Amino acid sequence: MNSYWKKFYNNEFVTMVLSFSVAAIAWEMAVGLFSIPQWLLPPPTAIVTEIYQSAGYLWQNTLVTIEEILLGFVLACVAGTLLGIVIAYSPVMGKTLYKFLVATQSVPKVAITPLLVVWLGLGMAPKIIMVFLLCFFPIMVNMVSGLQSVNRELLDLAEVMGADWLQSFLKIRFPAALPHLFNGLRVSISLAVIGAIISEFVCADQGLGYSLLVSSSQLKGPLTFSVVTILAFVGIALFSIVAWMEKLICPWAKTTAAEDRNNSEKNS
Amino acid sequence: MTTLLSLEGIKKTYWPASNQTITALGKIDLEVQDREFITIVGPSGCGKTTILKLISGVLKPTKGRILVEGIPLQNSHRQLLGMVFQQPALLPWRTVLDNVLLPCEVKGQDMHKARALAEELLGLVGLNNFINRNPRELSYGMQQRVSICRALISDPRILLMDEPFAALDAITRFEISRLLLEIWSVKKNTVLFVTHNIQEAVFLADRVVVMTPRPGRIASIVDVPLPRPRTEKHLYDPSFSSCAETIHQLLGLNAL
Ligand SMILES: Nc1ncnc2c1ncn2[C@@H]1O[C@H](COP(=O)(O)OP(=O)(O)OP(=O)(O)O)[C@@H](O)[C@H]1O
Ligand SMILES: [Mg+2]
Repeated sequence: MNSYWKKFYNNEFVTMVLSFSVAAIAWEMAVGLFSIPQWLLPPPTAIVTEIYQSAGYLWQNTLVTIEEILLGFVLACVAGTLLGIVIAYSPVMGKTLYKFLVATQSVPKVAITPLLVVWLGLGMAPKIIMVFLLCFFPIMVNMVSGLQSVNRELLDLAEVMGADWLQSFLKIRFPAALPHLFNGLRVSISLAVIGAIISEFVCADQGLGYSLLVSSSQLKGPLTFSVVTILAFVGIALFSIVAWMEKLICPWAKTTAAEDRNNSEKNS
Repeated sequence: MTTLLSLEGIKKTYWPASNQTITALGKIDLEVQDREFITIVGPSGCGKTTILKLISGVLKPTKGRILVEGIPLQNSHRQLLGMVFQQPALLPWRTVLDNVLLPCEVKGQDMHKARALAEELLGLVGLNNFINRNPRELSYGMQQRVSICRALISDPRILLMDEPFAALDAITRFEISRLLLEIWSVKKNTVLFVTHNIQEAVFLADRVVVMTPRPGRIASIVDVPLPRPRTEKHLYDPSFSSCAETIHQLLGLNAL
């Protein structure tokens, strides 16, 4: 009985559902108890009802935002990975381009969103570019550090075997760098959601960021909260997809982390 | 006996910074006979790894030359080489079998034949039940055995081993040493084996190369007169002890 309870308690999903339910109930009761108006803070039931009633509208805007996120993210994956490879392999690029890119990071990218609108217009382009700009750097940096931190002995091994450039890249260096790359991807996918929303705040006529802005300016509390809820789910879903792909593509990467956790649990 | 490998007046200087040089190897002259088992002992930092890296072609000597069967070392000689590193250096995304097959893939050999040979080698080192496992599921000693198989798969004329058993406990270490000698007696490779362990050096070798502290030179080469095949009995043989003592003194004197 005791161990069964422990297993139940240790299940991350179960604890998450439990804590969210408790929070939701407390929230619902607080709103009723202090009779807070809906435009200020709607209760969870009102939010759920709103999501159900405005499903079509929310769905359309969600698709727009997801499209911006995915396009920007995929673009950043391709560019970040390729540029990371070039920088890791070329000492000249490492000294010049890399330093330059690092320096540009001190510009707060969100601040140039209005400029992007001026340059690229009102459509999807400025949003995609903003997502791209936010995602690109973590991917590129992690690709570079992954390729550069490959075990010396593995590189010597490639050389002793007489592997050419491409073989040593495909068979040793790139797979060895994959766990690093996925660290970058996980950071980036979270940034991607932020990038899309912020640029929709600045100028848009559709998307979740746009609905958020409009509904809150019209004091439509339940709708605003519905959008926030959906955004949270979109963020979690995208992050989970990246984590799942990591498990699928480089299952060896996480073993160390899991082993470490097991060991520390045993020791404590 | 023919000379397979000769190092002639090898010097190696590292340039870690523009205003700094480290002379790793003073002047090394060494002739290695075909099918000989050579062990190299010396204090830490005396350039043992550097010697192996020079022979494997990963590094170029600052002075002197390396000849393989009388021909200066060139890239095509990599076909003759197998190397075992101090760490197993296995690829965690490949199974045990695929790790062993890596050199054959790189060299574009007939994979069907290679696979059969890999399975045979893994059986020889007692890993037939682990062929499709992930290296992470293996103990350190087992991983090191896999890396030995990987070095042996291309049937190298010259086998370079850089303290391959350093991280193993005494029992596993002795077992693997025995295994290595067994394989060597069948395959008849030429082996250069670096170690910190005097007992191991004597037990394995035909000749033990004893080095001085940096800059590394050859202090002396000690012949081991013990017969083959070697067994644990030889560990208590008087000539074993006298060899070990000689080496001990050579190292001890140099440390002063
Ligand atoms: N890449 C390098 N750059 C600069 N100096 C180096 C480099 N590699 C080795 N050295 C120096 O050369 C000397 C010999 O190094 P080497 O690795 O060959 O020693 P070793 O005999 O294998 O030592 P150990 O027994 O500790 O493994 C050392 O003093 C080391 O400081
Ligand atoms: Mg060494």
